[in-house]
Amino acid sequence: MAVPFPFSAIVAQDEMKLAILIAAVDPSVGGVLVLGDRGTGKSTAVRALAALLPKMKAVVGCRYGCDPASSGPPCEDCARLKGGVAAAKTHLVPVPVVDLPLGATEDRVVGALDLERALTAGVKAFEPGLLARANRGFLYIDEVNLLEDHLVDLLIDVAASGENVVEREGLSVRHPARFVLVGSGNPEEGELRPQLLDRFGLSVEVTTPTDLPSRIEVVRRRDAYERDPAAFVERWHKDDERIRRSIVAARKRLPDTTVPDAALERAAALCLALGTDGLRGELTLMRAARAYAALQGDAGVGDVHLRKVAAPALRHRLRRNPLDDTGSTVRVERAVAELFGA
Amino acid sequence: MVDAAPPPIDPAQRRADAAARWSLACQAAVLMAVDPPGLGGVALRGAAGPLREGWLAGLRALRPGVPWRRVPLHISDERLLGGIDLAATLQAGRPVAQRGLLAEADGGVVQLAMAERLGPSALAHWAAVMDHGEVRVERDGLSQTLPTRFGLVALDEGRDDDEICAPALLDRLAFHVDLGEVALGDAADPDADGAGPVRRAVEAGHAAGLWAGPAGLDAEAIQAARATLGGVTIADRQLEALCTAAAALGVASLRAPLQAVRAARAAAALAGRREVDDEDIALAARLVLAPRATRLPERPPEPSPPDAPA
Repeated sequence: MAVPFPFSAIVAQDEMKLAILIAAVDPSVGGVLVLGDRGTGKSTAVRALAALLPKMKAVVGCRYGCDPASSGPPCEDCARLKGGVAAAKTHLVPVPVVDLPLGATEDRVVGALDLERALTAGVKAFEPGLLARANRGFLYIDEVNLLEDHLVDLLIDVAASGENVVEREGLSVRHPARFVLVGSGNPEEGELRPQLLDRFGLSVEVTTPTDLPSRIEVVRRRDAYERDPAAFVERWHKDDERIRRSIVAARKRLPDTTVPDAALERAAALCLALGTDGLRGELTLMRAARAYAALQGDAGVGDVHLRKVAAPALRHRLRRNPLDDTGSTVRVERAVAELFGA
Repeated sequence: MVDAAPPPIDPAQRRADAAARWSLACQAAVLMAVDPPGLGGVALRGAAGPLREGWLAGLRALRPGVPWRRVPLHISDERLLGGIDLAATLQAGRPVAQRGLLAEADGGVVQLAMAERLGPSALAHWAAVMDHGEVRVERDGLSQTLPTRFGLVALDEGRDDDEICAPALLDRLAFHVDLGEVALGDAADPDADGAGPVRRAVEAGHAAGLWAGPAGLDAEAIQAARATLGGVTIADRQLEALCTAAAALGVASLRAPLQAVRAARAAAALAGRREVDDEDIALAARLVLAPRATRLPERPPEPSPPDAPA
């Protein structure tokens, strides 16, 4: 497969890039939904992220890529290792970014009976699916609108619980499946159910740039990349390196980044003003603001951070107001301006 | 006041217009033959019949030997993308995969009939494969990824204005050709090898100053162009010119100027040049951008005439 387009070479689309970086720094933010028309670099950005992320330590011989340093009960593969997880060999592997292709059937997503071993050796064994491969990484779904309902439900449940439970074909298996869900789609092609929308931590809207210089730059870079991918990637290598370092640094800083009471009150006031359902809005807002503060190198969350992440965290959680048909982004920005001052 | 009747269409003018339109259609075929996956393909709008068949035969003759697959509209996902070969699997005792049509078309051309009726979920499959240059299958116990790069000829048989190919499909095809008003008589006489109409049209276009490429075109010329295509360069100002033209014509998509850049390179390669020149740019703009225009470029305001002396 060709070398992926470098993350830092993506023109504009700052909100989308920030959302993906926030999700990379703090997976508990809960996933990113990227909505927009075709050809806006949605899948490019997520695939570019794969090349960018620093490698992670994983246990050798574990099909789920478990973290050797994790506390908690080991998965069934790790449990079977000689000497247990503590003595296991480890290696560095790239963070998985798994694509859920269109038309994927449940057996390949969840995992199923290993057909080959059943036919050849008559053995009942579990063949892990895409959810297993995505553990500790990212699961990318192109065209979320077109996904079958039962698959959507499945993904929502697994993403929330962090565990995949397989009960099919005589198998009963449980394995870790903690991943960040990234979905892309075009709202014009189908409504997304509110339950699905709500499960995504952040949502961003992307559109084709309208100013001529940006458009020229997009075409220029795309053309250069296609002519000589290796050289193009080399040219952007330093910028990608800078982003990778900032992610690593932000992850280190995250536990020490404070969330003062004032910020909590602001967040709650904003969500009240917007009438967002439930508390997920507040939680996401706080986590995203904290991750953003960590990325910026700031010690604690302040208004500036809340402002930046308000729209991505809240625009998809607003209750529909039949009397107000302004776009959700505008509504969020209006509330922010009223509360925080312009 | 009664509207005046529209002026009668001058038959000579109509024939000239149709001939020019047919010539452009054939130029699109020629460029597509040079770089099918890079240009995406052609959306060919027109009724089924000898004219369309002549165009298809012409394209085929320019690239003999490459895979050519006809895809029916209601093809099953499994046949299109691939799946398990059940019989072979049971016989061999292990999973045996079967390539789908799209994987079989790698390096060649796919012909999709009744493309204007392509539904959204099928369309999403086509878009994914064309964008990534590979078919990914994760279904029914099968997991396979196969590279495939091809050009698509989307045959649009819609009659009414609202029966058109989906915008997402059109966006991925460099050339949008409408044969609607061209009659069989406007195309050049068919030749024994079937490629005649396209070749003659290109020659006619060459004579009329519509085509700067070589007059005599055949499969060998296409092969020669393909060999040099990788080394053809385009100047930054030319790339900017195409982007600016696209914006001026109200073409929102960013794929369009990118396809125009590739079309310009293909035209230069055909003419045996290593650098794109302004005629290639003009041709690319005419073939790729003009059909997608949503507005005319704004004319700069006329300078007001000086006040007349008192």
